[in-house]
Amino acid sequence: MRTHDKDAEFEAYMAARQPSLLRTAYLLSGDRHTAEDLVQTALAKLYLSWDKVQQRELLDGYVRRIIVNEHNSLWRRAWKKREVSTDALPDHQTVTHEPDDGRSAALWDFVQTLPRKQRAVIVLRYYEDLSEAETADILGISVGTVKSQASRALAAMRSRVHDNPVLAQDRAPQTRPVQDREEER
Amino acid sequence: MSGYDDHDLLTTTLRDRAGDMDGHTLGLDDVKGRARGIRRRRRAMTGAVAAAVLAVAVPVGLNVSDVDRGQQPLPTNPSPSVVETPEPSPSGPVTIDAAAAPRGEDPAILYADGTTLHRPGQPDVELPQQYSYLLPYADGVMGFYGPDGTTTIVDGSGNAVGDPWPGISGAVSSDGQSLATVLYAGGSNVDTQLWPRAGANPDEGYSSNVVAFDGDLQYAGFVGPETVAYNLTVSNNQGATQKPYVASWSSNDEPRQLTSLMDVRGTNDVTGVVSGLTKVDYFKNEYCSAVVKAASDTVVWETCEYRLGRFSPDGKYVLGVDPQSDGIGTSGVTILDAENGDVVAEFETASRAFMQDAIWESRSTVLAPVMQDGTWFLVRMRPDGTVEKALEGSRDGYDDSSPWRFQLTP
Repeated sequence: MRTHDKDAEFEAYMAARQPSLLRTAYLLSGDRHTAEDLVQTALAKLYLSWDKVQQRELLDGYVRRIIVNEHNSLWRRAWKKREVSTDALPDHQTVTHEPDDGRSAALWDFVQTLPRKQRAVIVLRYYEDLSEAETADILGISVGTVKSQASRALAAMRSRVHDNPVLAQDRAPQTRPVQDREEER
Repeated sequence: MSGYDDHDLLTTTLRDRAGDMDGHTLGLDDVKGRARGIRRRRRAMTGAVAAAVLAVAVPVGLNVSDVDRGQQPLPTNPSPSVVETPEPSPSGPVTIDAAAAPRGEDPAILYADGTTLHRPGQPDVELPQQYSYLLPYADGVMGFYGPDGTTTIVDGSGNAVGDPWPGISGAVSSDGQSLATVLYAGGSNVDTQLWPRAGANPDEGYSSNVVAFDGDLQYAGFVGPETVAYNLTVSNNQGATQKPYVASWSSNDEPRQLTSLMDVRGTNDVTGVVSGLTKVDYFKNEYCSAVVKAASDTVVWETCEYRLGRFSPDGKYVLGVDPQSDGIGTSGVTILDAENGDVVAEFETASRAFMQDAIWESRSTVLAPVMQDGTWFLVRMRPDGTVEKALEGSRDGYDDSSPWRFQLTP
């Protein structure tokens, strides 16, 4: 492909998809500047591979995977810089947030406390509305792991509902149907 | 709270939060700048920087100043003749040291340096503006201007003829006599135009075929006298899909999809074949290409060692590059036998260099810009393994884009 053709095609893709990618990166990282950095790196890597990426319907999945991997790398590098010597990375990030202004803010705070893998599953499944198989493909994990991670995140969320009056407002008492519990297995 | 409610609540929360995210909008330059940094780091990690630069092997007795002697350059002006191409001879890759390569003759095809159009054997002409690429037409050119997405006819004196029209895709037949362009005719209608190279009245001198295309059409080239192959890119909310097609001006048949390929990158109207990707696995980093007969849509041969591109005008050779090469450039180019995929000659750039957009200058010479140590060189390569400079080095242009714009070649 000629350089100018490539640039024109790439620019068109970038213009169309950048806002969406930025939102996904923001949900994963919880930080605007980090999200912008993730998207710039992901798009740069896509640009380097543009000539090879001919199944354009797979582009978004490809870029999302780069964003998730880059986010994991950034996080690991950040921990290394803090001279954390243990191989076992803590599962929870420390989150500081503004005072609760309602249920959405409380839930967002909750999402930010999720381990990275669970958070990625939640963002891809419930924000991007991807299937379990698509989520598994992007994260490089099995469908079973997607199910279990989503289930754990939802269970943690329900647990928070009990503890957080804002989240619990307008909610009926906890009487989950059997089929819901079955879904989580 | 049911599972369904949980999902809804999470989805609503995430969408509310994401809706507030409107960060800095990145431009292409931002992304290319980051890409260059990634590329440099990748190269450094592979240890390529430390490799020694080898001299170019030029066989003794070769008159390197004689450009393509005995070989037919692509017709910037119609002057067909039949001359045998030399037999290939090298064994193993030839490493290009562009700075040290001997100086050959200037390119035998049209090219522009900024707004100056260089024409072999004719005076230079100042073009009205800097075009992204060019098609030789009559005594002038058709210029494709990317930012506006328009095509303009420019006469031999450098004057624009008529108004520009929307559409920036073109192709030229291997004998140089037929040109294809597109005109976006409004809505989803695309007028695919077939022009005589010698020149015609722009209003009525071409064959026209208006087709409904709900996408972007980019020609790959001619596969027959009045038949072209092209890629059609269709965008939707989920991204975009690209598929290769063959269409003809001489039949009323609908464009036919080439199902054996994912796209088409090279064509030849002498042998009626095309090249393109057959398989891509992004996560395994595996890319396979094939040569395919356009008429029957059948694979002639396939390889996962090279990403196949353009055919020589006589259809004898096809260019291949390393499938792992990235979007900024390649590490070199390989000339393959188009009939069976045998390697004829292999060229590698030096460690701190890369190559872009190799094109056929004639049936047995290939031109490619090479960026080496901050300078752009235009190198000429032959199936016998010889290398020379076709222009003096230039520090104009950008570090990812050479200062020269060449005519479209088959």
